[in-house]
Amino acid sequence: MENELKVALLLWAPLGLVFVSFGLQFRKNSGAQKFGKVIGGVGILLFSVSFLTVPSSPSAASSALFVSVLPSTTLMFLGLYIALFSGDVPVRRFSPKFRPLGLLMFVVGFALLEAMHWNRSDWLPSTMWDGETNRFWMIFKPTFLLAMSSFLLAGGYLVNLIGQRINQTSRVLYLTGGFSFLLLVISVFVDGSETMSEEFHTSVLYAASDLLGFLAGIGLTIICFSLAIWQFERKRPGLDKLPPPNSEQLTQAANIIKNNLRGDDDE
Amino acid sequence: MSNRIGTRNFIVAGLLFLLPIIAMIILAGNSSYDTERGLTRFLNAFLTSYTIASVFLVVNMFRYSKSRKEPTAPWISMVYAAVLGIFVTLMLTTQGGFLMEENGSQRAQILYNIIHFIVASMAILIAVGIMILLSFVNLESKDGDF
Repeated sequence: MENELKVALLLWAPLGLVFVSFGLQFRKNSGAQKFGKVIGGVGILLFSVSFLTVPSSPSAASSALFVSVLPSTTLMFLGLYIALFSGDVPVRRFSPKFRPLGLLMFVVGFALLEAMHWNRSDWLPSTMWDGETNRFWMIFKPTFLLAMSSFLLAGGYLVNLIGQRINQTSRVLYLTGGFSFLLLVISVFVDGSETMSEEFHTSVLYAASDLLGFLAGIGLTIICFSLAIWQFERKRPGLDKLPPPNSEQLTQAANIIKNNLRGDDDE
Repeated sequence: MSNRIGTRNFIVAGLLFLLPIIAMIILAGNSSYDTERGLTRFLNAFLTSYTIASVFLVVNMFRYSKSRKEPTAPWISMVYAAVLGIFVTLMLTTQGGFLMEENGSQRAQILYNIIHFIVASMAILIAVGIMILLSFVNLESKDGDF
């Protein structure tokens, strides 16, 4: 009982804080948003160390996974962020000299994530938990590679249809999606350092079930709420049938515009 | 936006999306994949994502109700989501009891589903995030535009 309470306080409560923090980001009040960021940070920090504070919980393996994929994920996103804002964009934040560095950081981050599967080294973040392969790594890695392949291939096709200034984008999406699909195929034929190829292949098929289930669940939710919103919106008169705004509405509109005119310093 | 994306384009995009999954199924050969367990994973992922996304959207419906002056909106959407959720859950669980994987109790299974959802969501969101950032990183400049 005491252990369950410890797990609840040190693993589940921090996760709850992260969810609350996420919800608070949708509040207009900036104080609530800041408070949300603080409790979200505390929640992530406490969850990240829960594999040390409550190692007996089976769910603590997810915390170990989170910590082990954090360096590669940070490298990838930071690299793409630097590459994006050092490129040919109006809101440039970095010198163009940093663009190759950003792209290199992305490649190194991706390579680090792959290396964790293929090599067992003290220098690499571990994919082990409790003497065996972390069960959540066998969910994360196949889902990530499968989602990368699927989203990038479909995204490359759709982006190409839009037309302007995106031929290069489409090619890169196809190339990266194809590369991650190639890695997926290699992983199901060649044994990794900790996982057999057959075991990984089975995990990929289960990951496909997860991915499709995840998308179906989100899709049904969107349909359900779209129906609810449609029910209210269809009762409203068309824009061409609306009476002209009265003075109170004009004042309200003016206030909204005034409150939203100020941007960040770099905007 | 110069071209209009039609239904046929979405079907092709959907097929491209499914291509890696289909290829993995074709390559399965003598894999130890258990179809029943795969179905359980699909249903658990479906129900967990439906529940969590519904909670998130219900919270947002309170903002919608405030901005559109529709005080009943959150409650009606909550009823819709709950009725549909109960119906789908009953339909799915009556087929083969509670959707248990390798966990000892129903409570353990529910907690595992939440962690499983977080891990799978993290993997999917990282992939989607990379796709979005990669798209913007490679935008070609329009001559004289910037």
